[in-house]
Amino acid sequence: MKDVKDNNSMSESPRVINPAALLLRSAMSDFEIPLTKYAVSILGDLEQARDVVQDTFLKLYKQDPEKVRKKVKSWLFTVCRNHCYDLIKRNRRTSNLEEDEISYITSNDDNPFQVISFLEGREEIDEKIKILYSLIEELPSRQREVMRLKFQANLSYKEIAETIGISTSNVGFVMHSALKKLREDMKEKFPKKS
Amino acid sequence: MADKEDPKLTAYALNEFDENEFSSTDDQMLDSQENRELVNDIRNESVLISKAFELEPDCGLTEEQKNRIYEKTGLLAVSHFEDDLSDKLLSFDSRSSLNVSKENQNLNQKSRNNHKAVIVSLVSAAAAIVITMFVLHQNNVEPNKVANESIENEGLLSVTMIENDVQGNINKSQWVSRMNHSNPVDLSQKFRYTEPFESDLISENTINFEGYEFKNPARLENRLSIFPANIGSKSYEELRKGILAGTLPNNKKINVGELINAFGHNYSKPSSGEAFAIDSEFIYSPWSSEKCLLRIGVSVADQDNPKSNEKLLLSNVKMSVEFNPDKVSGYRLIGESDLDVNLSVERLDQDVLLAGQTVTVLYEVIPINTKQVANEKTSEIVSVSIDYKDPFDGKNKSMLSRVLVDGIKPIEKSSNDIRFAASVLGYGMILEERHDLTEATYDLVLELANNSLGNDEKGKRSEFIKWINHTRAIKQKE
Repeated sequence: MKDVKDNNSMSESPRVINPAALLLRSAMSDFEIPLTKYAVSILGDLEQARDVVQDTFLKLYKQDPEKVRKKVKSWLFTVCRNHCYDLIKRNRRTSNLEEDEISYITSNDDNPFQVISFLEGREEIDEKIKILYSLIEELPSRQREVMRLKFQANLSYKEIAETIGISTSNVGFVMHSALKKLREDMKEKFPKKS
Repeated sequence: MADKEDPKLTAYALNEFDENEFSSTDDQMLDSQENRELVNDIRNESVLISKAFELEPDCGLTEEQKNRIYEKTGLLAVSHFEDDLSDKLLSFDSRSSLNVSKENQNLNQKSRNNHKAVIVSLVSAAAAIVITMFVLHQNNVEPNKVANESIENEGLLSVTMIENDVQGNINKSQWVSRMNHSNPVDLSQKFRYTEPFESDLISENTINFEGYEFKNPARLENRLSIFPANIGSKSYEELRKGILAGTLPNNKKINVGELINAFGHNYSKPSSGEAFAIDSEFIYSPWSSEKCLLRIGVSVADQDNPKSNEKLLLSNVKMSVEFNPDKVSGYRLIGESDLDVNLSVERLDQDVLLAGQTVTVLYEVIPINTKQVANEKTSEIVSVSIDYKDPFDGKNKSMLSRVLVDGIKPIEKSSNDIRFAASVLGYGMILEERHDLTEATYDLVLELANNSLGNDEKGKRSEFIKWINHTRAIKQKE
């Protein structure tokens, strides 16, 4: 190896990727997991959720990247959500389930994430967080959905509003009520020691 | 005073408040102690809720489904060279890098050989690196607003327990390391590149690559890397003592960042009238075709400089590197991960630079080599900025230096200083006994050191070469 004194360099860009693929790749790396979790929370079924997410990504690839880029997050969650509800409708048609039974599936007590067994044997996990999670599960479904989109998927009020089709101030109100409810419940469970 | 029950307060606490909506009445809302406490409560609550959602085990697509997406879109397979495009996917995505890094070692070896050949044949097709420096006057320097400083948030660090007690839980441990080693986020910070994400997607915060954790600069808390003004030499002393005695110290005690600084560097002096000079250099890594090394050297003017006198002492110094997330998918500051929490906190107070002092930091960087139409800012890979208080006029100033995409040099064209730093880094990797993960070997490290002696006025670099040989001998006896 020689000590070359000059500052010459070469410019090379061996990786050439088209913008749609680039957008898809970064969307997959950023949102694959939160999207799947979101779909599971609606569908209550991991396999179906995965299919929906796969379709969502494939659909993203067909979009004009310049048009979607700025709002890719709410685009993904909206499309994913619509897919989920389409699927529920289709399932309903094939199995003739009553409305009540559908809502039973969407707010499934038999938690699809199996968090309960996940937590067993891990006493170290902050008790507070565990209890908070169970309290979130008890919230009305609209509040739960807003919380998940905000705190798990990190969507803004505006993005949440676009995704679930309500106004931004409505999101603010739902969020406010949910947080207040949780705060009060938590105070009850963990009264402040003086 | 606004009603305590106002959803506006919640929105404000969650940073959802549009500044335009913020009327003077709303300003008064925060005058009340009670409301300010409520805002704090809501913020703490929201951190806990994010943690609660993290209790859910991660679930995503199956490998089969992902591959189907890759197949259907056809363009996601990424490789250095088209010849090497195999059915295996090479990508900078954290998970797939993990999966393919071992299988593709041979492939990487091959592509690097190709790579070198290409470099040699293209020596004439050269572009000059442009490192532009200019001084900016910084207006209205507000006191830093440091995020994550509330007591409740510190309490959350107790989630460290999860990492300590439950092995193999990657997400949790990454979150913890983010908390431990991330720089406090200055909320008033303006960034040069694409707005960073403030994200709960902890799994994407760091990229585990070849056994090391790299920070993803797309994330807010990783965008800036702040490096210390003063780097100790304890590791050098420990190692020197050990080698003289024929033993090697516990590798946990050795901070490679300290070693790199201990051997000294030959930096050009600041030009007349400047308080200091920033000297940066970006090269392809000698041992990994997917990585680059970035060396940043800072030298402070000494007595020869007309602007300085023997009392020259720059205070309120903050040195930071901003990585462009469109060009860099991950970086790690050498020596940073070896610091424990307390050290990194203490380090933030080190904001003083002395006359004649030099500081060297080395980063390992995983670049994204996409060919995009370069405009003025996006062709930058990194920018280095030094904020300081001018000792003469008392004003806060800032100096900026940047490295452009085409400024990455092959090792053949690198300076002695970066080759030597690379040699010390490789040596550190050998000490860490990670040779299954990296291709740093004694021979490579020796070759690098032998080719970077320069003047070596104090003989320290020659001493280092002796160390490498001694270390090899000691290790062989073990």
